[in-house]
Amino acid sequence: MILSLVRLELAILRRDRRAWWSLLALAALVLLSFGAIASQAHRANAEKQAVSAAERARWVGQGEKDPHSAAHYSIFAFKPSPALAPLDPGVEPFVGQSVWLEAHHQNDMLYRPQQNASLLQRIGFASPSALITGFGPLIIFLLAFTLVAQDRERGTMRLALGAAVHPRAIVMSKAVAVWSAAAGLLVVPVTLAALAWAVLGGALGADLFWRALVWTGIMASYLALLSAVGIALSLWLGNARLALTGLFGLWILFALALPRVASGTVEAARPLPSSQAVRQQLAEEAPTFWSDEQAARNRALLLRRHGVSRIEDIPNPRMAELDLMERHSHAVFDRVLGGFYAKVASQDRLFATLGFLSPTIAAQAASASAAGTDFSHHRDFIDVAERYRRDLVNRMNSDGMAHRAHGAERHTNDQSLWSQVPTFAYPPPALGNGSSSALPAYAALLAWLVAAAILLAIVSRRLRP
Amino acid sequence: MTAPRFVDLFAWEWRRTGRSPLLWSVFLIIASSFVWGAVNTAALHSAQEAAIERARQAERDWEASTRERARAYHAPISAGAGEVAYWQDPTDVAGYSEYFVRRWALKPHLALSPLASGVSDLAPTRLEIKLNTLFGFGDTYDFENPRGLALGRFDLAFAIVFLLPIGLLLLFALLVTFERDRGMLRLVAAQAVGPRSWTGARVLAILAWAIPVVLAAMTGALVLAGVPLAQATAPLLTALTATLLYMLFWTGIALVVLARQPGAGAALGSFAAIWAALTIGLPLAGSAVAGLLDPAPSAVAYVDVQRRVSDEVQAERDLILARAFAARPDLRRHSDRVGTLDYATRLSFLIPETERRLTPFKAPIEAHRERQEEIAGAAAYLLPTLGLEAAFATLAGTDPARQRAFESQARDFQLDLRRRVHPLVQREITRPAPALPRTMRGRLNLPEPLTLPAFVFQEPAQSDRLARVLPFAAWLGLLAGLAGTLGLSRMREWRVS
Amino acid sequence: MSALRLEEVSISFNGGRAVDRLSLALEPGEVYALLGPNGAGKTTTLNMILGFLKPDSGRIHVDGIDAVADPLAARARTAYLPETVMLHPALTAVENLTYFALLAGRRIDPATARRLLGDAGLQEDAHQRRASGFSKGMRQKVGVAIALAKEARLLLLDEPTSGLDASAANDLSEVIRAASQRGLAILMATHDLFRVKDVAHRLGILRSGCLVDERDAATIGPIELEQLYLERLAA
Repeated sequence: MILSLVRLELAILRRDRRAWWSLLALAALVLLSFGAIASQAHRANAEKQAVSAAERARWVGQGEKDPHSAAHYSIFAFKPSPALAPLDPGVEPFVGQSVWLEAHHQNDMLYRPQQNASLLQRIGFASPSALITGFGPLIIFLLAFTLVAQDRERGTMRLALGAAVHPRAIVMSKAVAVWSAAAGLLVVPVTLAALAWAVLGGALGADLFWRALVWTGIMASYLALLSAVGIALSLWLGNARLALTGLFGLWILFALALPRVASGTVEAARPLPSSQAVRQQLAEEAPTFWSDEQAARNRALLLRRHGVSRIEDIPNPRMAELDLMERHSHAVFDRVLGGFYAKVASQDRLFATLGFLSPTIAAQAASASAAGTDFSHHRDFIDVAERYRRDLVNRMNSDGMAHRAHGAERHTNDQSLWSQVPTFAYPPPALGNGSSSALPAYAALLAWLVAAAILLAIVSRRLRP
Repeated sequence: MTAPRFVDLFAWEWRRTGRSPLLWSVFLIIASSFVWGAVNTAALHSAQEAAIERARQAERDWEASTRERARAYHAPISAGAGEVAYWQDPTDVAGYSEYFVRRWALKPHLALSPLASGVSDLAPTRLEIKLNTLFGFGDTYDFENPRGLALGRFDLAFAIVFLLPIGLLLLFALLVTFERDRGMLRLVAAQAVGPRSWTGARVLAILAWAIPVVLAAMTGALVLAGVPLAQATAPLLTALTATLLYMLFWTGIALVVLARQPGAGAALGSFAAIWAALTIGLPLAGSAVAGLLDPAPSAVAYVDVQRRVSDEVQAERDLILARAFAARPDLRRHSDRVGTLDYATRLSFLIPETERRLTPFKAPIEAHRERQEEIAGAAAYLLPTLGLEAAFATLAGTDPARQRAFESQARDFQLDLRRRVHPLVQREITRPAPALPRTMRGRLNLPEPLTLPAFVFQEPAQSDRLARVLPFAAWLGLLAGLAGTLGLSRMREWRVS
Repeated sequence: MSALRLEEVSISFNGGRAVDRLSLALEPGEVYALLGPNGAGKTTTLNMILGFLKPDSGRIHVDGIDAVADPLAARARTAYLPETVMLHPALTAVENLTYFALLAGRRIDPATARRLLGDAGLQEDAHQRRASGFSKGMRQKVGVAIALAKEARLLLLDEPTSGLDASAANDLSEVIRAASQRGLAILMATHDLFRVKDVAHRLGILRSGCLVDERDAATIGPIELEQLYLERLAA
């Protein structure tokens, strides 16, 4: 019976020009944004692959030189665009896409796609996820209003409830109709498009498939809870105008105000140290160019470590000093930058926890995590690249230290050493890894879903013809 | 018997609207969002100002430390303190040029900056200037949580551009359609009043409450955010005027919709559709079209070019130096020193050459950026939401144009430093190194660190900022007038049959 | 001069004639009942007199004013009582009356408002109460007061007794009679044959937009009226 009712409700929705066309317009925007981001990501990935290959060729073919100079030459590593970024680019437009893995520095990732965006580009950048989470509530509430509040205003609801054996079936069918229309047009086509895109690009693997499935589940759950809330409020609030005001207010609160307020609150509650302070601390604790006084302290330490009294007794004191400062910098980077990134993760965790205040926040945080585009996934790239850098530099310094050179003497090496360094490759983390900061968002989404179902059940039980 | 006087209708509506709890609830939410937005942005800018101050202090400390070390290296070499390497020696002009000349180009915020965060969350307010960084400064930025950047900042401009129209439209949709939804409109229409006067009086009554409240809330929010009004009078008045015109623009849109005399559902549906189209639909489509027609030059490809050019320059290093020497009468006689120059001295020749070779690749990136900003500037006239956001950023001094001016001045500052320092570095080429071993710790070809100028941002005149905003404000006023006239002209007859 | 004159008025919707060459005239103080089933064209006729619809042809004059050419001026001379009077729930009866009077171009003081409400039969204790708790009958009385406040030459009543209890309907009849005695011409569109016989001077039967019969109410008894009505509709 429910299925027949749902079909009828869907027919009513389709015949309400305003609600249906709004839904179709949003669905079109979702696909348009998917297409725009996917084509940009495709182009960017192709370029990154080409330039990465060129970087590798440059590294291997850099010719004979001092290994430490090679470590300075090093490579640029490029972060491949996550396969599901066209569904939800998350932080991708605002994080660097490339990092120079040179000696002494844990460089910032540079070339943020939106770094120099014009105002039009910044305002006009919208992803499927942002459109669904931001405007989905508006459309769903409009659909719910069409099916319930207007129905009641016209008196047809009274007639239907009077005739129904189970009034709850009517309510359920309305909620399912709204949800299936929204999910069917907003989520399913774009997910299929993402999977088709992955198949065409040869990127479809088990992890990507599961991620797409989880993303679909998140968005479908989000739309389901909104449908339940929309129907319940439309039934609960006295008249159509009140229902409309309530639903409109809820959209503004959930989707427009609270996410940005939550973001601001997180910044205020757990502020990040300024980049200036971080860089200054790094420059003071792990200087790239150290003073003569520091050099004297280094020499004393090296003599102690090598158990010798003369610098000449260390095979390659210059490389030993460089290695000493390099390894010292690793500890500083881990402490300062590691601490900094941990604070970013802590901010993200708090933001995800604020998903209990607004389902939009929960959906946003969970969506980026499932798509592999939140900061914790970006951090994974930073860590992988940094491990590669340290391995490369240590290997170069070790080769230098293993060969005697004093004063102006320089040990050099060639392709035989350079090619021992493996090609940089970045395997993105599997689903579940790197998602801890988003876990509260998943919990919040589930809580919202349960609460919305309970609300709908309570409201439908209280319904009287 | 005559038709009612408009002023009587308005007075009645004004009194009655003022008693609406909905009106004051909406005003309260709008005012709260203004305060939150302004204070939120002020906090960001205050943190950036603190970073600017710390950078100033770091610059002073660095200079003091350089002078102190230069003094210390005037000492003779001893058993415990030997010859200082050139890259650690501020008394060696070459080492000094590469490793000790560090200046900060700083862009302080304007008094009205809490009005709009603009590009201040993405673009740096501090640029470290070294002599040999390509094109002025590194591609640097202050880390802001990218999740927050992607979400967008809840600043005062957001509250005014996005939330204020929603509040205003909500009031129009609910207060003007009341009689329609209650089934009273026929009775209203049967009196001696036309739809134009009746709707006009109510809309004007809502506006008569909204305008002073909104403008006062905006000013109050800025005061709470710490804006010294006396220092920002002209831009503040311009911002208030633009806000007023923006409210009138949305009122005009509302009149066009209300001319059909819809119920609240239909009115709110139409308002939401127009709002969504202006705030996201059209910008999304516009941005996509602009991106398709004029795709951004690839930053990844630029990395590749930089690496290639850098390799080429390194490979041709001696040839480039030889050519440079040959072109300079003072260096021509010292071509034998080309192969023995230290790294820093070589850079004084190679960096300009690298920049010259990279310019054809960098210029399109800059040109694209400028074109996109021009497109955004033109789109601002089509999308008043975008236009007002841009206008606020301009008045707040967080606009891309001021950032470009800052970056351009930072580059000029670097070139000025190069003009002061590089000749001193290159002059050493003509002075053969002493044959005898050094007796002093420092090289001492630069006995005292140079007294280099500090960067001072030449602030574009306030009148320029105002002049950039006023045409848009006038256009907004025109749009408001056109929409209002269109709406009122369509309200000739009651639609109650 | 007639308070209302319709000459050969016609209007069509979607190709069908809703009102077909309707002519009638009301003199001051006359009560005219326009009878007919749903869809006969009664409300359409009222809509044309009020200027909410423009006739395809024919002329309408209210107190000598061309209602087609200048609907606002004609409305200024016309009072209207809809089938269901809805009021501002947050306003009192006095405030509602003051508001609608204002819309009619009249500024009335509270004492006048109370007098008019009293004339319309609204109990005094309801004058300062908010309309949100008013029954349909009470709202109808405020509607009558609104009509009276306008000091119009013509009163249009659209199914005025629909949904009213017998007492409220009787009160309304009293008000109609009093208004008529003061010289107000009244056009009443209704199904209520009993009330028609009670208050109307003349009656017309409308079928498919055509005036198929017109009688002097005094010349016909209640049973005859019902028979005539059914005959005319069946014909």
